Amino acid sequence: MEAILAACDLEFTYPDGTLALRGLSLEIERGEKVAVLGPNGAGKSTLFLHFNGIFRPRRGKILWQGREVRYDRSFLAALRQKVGIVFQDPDSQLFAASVFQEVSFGPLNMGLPREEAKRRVERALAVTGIEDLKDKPTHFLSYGQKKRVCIAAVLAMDPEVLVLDEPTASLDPLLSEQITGLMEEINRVGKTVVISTHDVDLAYSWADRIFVMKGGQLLAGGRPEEVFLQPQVVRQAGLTLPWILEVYLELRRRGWSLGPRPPRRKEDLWACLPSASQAFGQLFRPANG
Amino acid sequence: MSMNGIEKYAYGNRWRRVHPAEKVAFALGTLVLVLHTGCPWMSLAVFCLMSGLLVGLGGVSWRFYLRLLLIPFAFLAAAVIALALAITWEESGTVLYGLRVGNLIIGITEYGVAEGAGLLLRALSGVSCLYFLALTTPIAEILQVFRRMGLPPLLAELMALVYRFTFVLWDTASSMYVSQASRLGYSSWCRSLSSLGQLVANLFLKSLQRSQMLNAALLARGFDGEFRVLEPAYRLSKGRIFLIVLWLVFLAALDWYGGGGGVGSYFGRL
Repeated sequence: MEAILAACDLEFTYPDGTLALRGLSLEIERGEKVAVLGPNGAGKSTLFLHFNGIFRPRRGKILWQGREVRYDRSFLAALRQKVGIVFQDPDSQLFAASVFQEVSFGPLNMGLPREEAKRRVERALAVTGIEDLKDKPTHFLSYGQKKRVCIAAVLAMDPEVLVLDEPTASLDPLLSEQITGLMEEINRVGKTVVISTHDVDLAYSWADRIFVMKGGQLLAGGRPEEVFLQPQVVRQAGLTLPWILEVYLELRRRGWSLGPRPPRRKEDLWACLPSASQAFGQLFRPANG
Repeated sequence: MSMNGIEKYAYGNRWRRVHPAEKVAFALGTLVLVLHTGCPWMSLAVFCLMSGLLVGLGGVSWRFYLRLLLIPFAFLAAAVIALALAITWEESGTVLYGLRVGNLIIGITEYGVAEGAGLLLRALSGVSCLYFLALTTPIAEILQVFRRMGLPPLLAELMALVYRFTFVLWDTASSMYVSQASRLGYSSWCRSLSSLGQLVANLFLKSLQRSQMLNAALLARGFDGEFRVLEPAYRLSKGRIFLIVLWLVFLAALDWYGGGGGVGSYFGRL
């Protein structure tokens, strides 16, 4: 597997002197679902803005498919088409008067002919399930609807990597589940999806790979169960254990044999729980795991 | 409040599917002609027509429409009173009601009343034309027509952005107001002044911050200095265009034959 996007020894300082990234390196592979975790102010959003060249690192570099990103007009234009960013606050992303116009902005910037752009817009609206909002002004939408418009606006550009900054923050459980489903669907058609989140349950169940950041540095990276099974990482980054993992660990501590690998999804956990009669048998077995 | 109301109707009225160019031509054409003619009868007719199209056929609630009409009414009332009042010499015998001050009479003259009524009708008819446009056509589509008519793109984009961010600014300001008020920020006159000052100052900073975020978000989608968006397709209707042209020609003909006096010249001044 080749890395589609990589950060090498990234360093970035804001104009006010805040050191936001301090020698951060990570690699994202093609087709992966990646979750970036870490406390507020860890530098997640700053890192994301490096991914399509909005921010330019003070030191270090970004690699796109193994090639160093250059900050000239044509390279940036190509990069921004390949890497789409959905910002956390929809109101800072939406500018157009109607949803249709908003979504058509990206495709037209790519220089697509109007007919093709229109097709793209319609497809993006269909995928995100907001066709009926087409002619609505963006300021009449609910928060969840705005969020979908933002995602559609980026999807219409058909990026290879979709970067979402806290996509489920301040959404109700149902909407949050729908957005997660949407990200799953986007990933299924072969796109790489990178999100930042504070929701450890979401990150644990959804992601193929997790990066934990703190203070502008990478604390840990790897498969979700690997990362969460390192107590010092969880403690340092101020995370909590996903409930699935917590249940698994507790049951194992009490002597249940639940298979060698921790379950990732709710369904996997259910599957490795024995039925009542089996469990009864277990109670009388010497408890040594 | 009424800004949101106007918006709601602009996006959901029965003339919504009509091509915006037709609506712009109809409303602005009528506006220009009725203002030029200045005939009270014609003004009245146009006012009734526009109101009928909005309230009767367009589905706009008449309460809302009346509230909107009240906005310019305050200004109008002042102007009409000023016009109707006149200071005349004793001999001019058309004073309906007057107050004598030495040789002068301050009062309402027949001419002044006619002038005032004419102005009132003229203004109301003009306002009704603009309300027809505002309540049936979203700003985005009006701008689209203007752009086709040759308005510089920079100006059109500026108008569109101002329009969009008026709402963002309003939301930001009102949430700041609520948060201040809930911490007793407006409990006294003095507190109110200081809170309002802070609100305005912070609003400026927040707007600045937001504009930077927006710029980043636009760049992320390949913004290169020009706003390009797809405009929804509308179909022009030959029948409606014919009717609009007929109507405008009719108004223009009345205007022309009336020698600038409109039909009023035939029926006599009000």
